[in-house]
Amino acid sequence: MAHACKSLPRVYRGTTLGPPWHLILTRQRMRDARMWLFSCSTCEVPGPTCRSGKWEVEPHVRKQLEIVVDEHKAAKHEEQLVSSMTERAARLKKALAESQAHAVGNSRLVAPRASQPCARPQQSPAVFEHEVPPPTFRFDKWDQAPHRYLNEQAALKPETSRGVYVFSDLNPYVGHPNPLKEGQELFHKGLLSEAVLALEAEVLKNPDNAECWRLLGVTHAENDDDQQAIAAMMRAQEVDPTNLEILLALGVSHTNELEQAAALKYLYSWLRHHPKYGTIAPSDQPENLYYADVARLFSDAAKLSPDDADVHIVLGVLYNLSGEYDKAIEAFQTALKLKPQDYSLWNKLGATQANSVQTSDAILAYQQALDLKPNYVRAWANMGISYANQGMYEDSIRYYVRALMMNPKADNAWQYLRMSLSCASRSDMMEACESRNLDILQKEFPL
Amino acid sequence: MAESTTQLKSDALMEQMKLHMSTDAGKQLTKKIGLVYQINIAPKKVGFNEKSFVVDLKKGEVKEGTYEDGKPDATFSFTDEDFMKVATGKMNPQIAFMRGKMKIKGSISAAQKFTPDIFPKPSKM
Repeated sequence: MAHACKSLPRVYRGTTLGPPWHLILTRQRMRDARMWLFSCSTCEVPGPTCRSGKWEVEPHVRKQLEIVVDEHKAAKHEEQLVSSMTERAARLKKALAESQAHAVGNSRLVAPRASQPCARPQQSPAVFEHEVPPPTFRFDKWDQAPHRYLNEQAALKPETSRGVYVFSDLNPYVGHPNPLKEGQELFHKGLLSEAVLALEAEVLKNPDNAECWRLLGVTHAENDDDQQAIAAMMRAQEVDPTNLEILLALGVSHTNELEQAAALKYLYSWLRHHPKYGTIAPSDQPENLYYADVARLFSDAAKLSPDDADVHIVLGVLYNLSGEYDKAIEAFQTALKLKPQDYSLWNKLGATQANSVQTSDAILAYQQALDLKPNYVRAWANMGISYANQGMYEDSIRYYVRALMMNPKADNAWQYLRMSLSCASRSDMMEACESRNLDILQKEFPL
Repeated sequence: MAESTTQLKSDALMEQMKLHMSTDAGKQLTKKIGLVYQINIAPKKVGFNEKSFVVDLKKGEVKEGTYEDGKPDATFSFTDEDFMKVATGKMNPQIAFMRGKMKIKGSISAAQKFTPDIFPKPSKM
């Protein structure tokens, strides 16, 4: 294989040592590799020219580079897949052969069956079916898997950076004089993805701005990205460990991620730091929190002041955690009587109803949330989930696409969209989903 | 015992699955698939402290514990994290199997019908 440039560091040359090429080919590395190629004096390619803040490359150079990169990628990818597939196939074949040998043994034992079918009509077929994989055993489904391999590799990457906030690559707001104000305005206008950028610019400037981290966390939560929301909220909590809103938001996000212990911890500290109810909670925080204890404390608090919507919200979240959806719905409904304009509360009610399979009520609640805040990505995605859980896949696709139009980075929604597409047997649209081409999807599935 | 204090994320999902089976979509699943799966979920490492669930798509039931009326059509073993990934569509079951993150016992054609869309998707608050 020809290398475009000898002076590329070895790791980029796709050597036989080290990780396979496509694993190291992250976006950053790609950029590095390009810079290496351009700044190299031995191969006579012109360096990139910087125009209007964008690196521009001669088209023929780009082409050459892409060929090299693709070749490397394809070769390494193929090599790895072939080895893993052959290994797996060998194992399956061995298992097949073994069980066939076993079955042959069995059928020898009951050999008369073949010649005298009436003699033992029912005895052996059951055994037979269980021991031998049926003849319809096919590799085709398994063969499709490799094509999704790369996507999956990309999807697995974020998990390593759990709890660490990931900033966007290119941020136009970095030089902005007052990104916080801009971010708040964008947030209120409902332009969530833009607001994220502006707020990120602010926290890059002032990493100790708890309010800004909090708003960033809220924005991510509304944008249906709980991992980032948790990361941002944790930064906010570092700066301001007693802020009630931050603690509640952390509790909610952890509940969404089904991390019960963490959610309990934050909800409990919410109670402890609350000026009114702090006295209810015992001052020493026990090592292991038990759900029942925390729930009891909160019901006490709710009795103490039945007019405080916040207590009911926390109580609702808590019941969600334990799966007592009826009680949770009741708590959220009480809170909604006190705070009917809170769109996130409507969404919480809807999500709870959806999880306890009261789908039609859930859709009404989401509708309320969306009336109050039309760009609420999370509610759009939840609508899609509700329709999908009812088996109305076509409808769910429309809602997912709508949510993705507003936030193309919502990974959960992409995965759900893929599942709905396959359930609705729209494999023709699968490619658009894999390449994340929203234009095609939106034309096909307008809302 | 350590097992009783650690809460599995899959517990919550299985609870939802129980409710889901009573809906129309759940009943369609029993028509479409009609197989019995047993799923063993381990908190950290496959094979240790496993907790079993039976997802009976013949009768439309989800139960804790192992299957007692004969053999399940297929048995899967996962870690908690990997099961959540597969059930929420983050990981493809075939790839989970290829990477050894999912262990299968029983009929392979039954195992191939095991797809993420039999599980309800949790809505988020």
